[in-house]
Amino acid sequence: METAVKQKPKKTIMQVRKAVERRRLAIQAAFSIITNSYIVGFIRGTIYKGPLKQICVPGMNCYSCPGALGACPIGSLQAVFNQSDWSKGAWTDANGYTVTKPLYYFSFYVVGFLMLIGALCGRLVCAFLCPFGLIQDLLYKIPLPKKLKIKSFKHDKPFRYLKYVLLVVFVIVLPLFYEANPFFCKYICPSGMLLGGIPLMTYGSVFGNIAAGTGTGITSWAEAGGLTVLKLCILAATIILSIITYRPFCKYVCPLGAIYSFFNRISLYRYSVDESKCTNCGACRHACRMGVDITKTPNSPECIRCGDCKAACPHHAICAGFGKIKTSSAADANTGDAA
Amino acid sequence: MKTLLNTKLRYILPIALIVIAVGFIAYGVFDKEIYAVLSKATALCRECVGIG
Ligand code: SF4
Ligand code: SF4
Ligand code: SF4
Repeated sequence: METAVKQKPKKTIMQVRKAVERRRLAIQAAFSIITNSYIVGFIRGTIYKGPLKQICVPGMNCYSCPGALGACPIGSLQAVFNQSDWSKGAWTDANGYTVTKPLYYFSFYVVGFLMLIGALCGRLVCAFLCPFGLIQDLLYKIPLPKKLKIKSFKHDKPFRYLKYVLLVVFVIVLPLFYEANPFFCKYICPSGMLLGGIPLMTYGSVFGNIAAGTGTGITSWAEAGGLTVLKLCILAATIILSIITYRPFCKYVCPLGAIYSFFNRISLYRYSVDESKCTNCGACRHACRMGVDITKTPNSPECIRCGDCKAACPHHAICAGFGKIKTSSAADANTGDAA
Repeated sequence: MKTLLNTKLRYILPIALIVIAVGFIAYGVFDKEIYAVLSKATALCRECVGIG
């Protein structure tokens, strides 16, 4: 007797890529919602002040967002460096905690946290766990005529180093020497304006300053000044550029991405290309929106580990994971190149 | 031999970093650095929201 075995039709590469992207967006959205789930903050125009706020979140998630449950590591790093100039002795902070040793020239806590995440998975955080990465991903989905979408430009490569300069100057050096001035937060970061400033000031303007829970009284657009204008311009530029090109903030500006990028080469989670399967067809290079050629630099500092190249490879030559993965020696030897 | 060394290093290096990182975090907590983070994160940051 013959049994007709119906074979499942194989998914096309395009279907696989779409499924991979949908899964990634779902993880990004779920993580962003969980880490910003302080509903009371949105209802009362205030921010969460509980003990969870001493724990850093892995992504660029402003702690001034009404829903934020954790602390942004870049903001935290500057906050600790900002205390390097304080006079010695005990002091009591805004929450009544007595701090007996206020001099910090190095942030063991935040640096340890960043090392832990970096050594585990490098920039995997950028693709899956960062709310500001998600926002840029969604903005890039806004349709535009093809000729208006820019994949790369002439000086793309040198511009990628800008994020390292911003990390050193605005996150480390200036906050270390100028007390109580988180320079990156203050003059550059569009995340605080988008996630904190706009919702809180709008809430205050619409409902009046009833957000007494903030204890600051700054919840209205009437307080807006030159700095507000500067930050709104940076935010507007980030939004427009994110529609035109893929993740401009991550590629050129983000100091957190810059820190994690140092770990891509050595993290437990890594990518590799099986040279025996790779035909050099270029499908992976074409699929990568971060401008990485994974066949040449499988763990490039610019790779956010989104998995698009893996899904696009028709020969299943690309592997990723924590465990033992087949490595291509020639490619692995090249991992140091930028992009 | 070289590959074996590379394979071993590939695990040893990140694991060593993870151990150091855990030590750093523990020291940061012990040194009350965590309160510096808490006090900044719980007082609405004027610079973050763009006022000043
Ligand atoms: S580069 Fe920065 S903003 Fe972009 S996803 Fe990574 S941590 Fe988030
Ligand atoms: S898509 Fe696959 S086969 Fe083609 S070049 Fe990339 S890794 Fe090689
Ligand atoms: S190389 Fe692959 S995993 Fe890395 S950013 Fe490009 S598409 Fe994503």
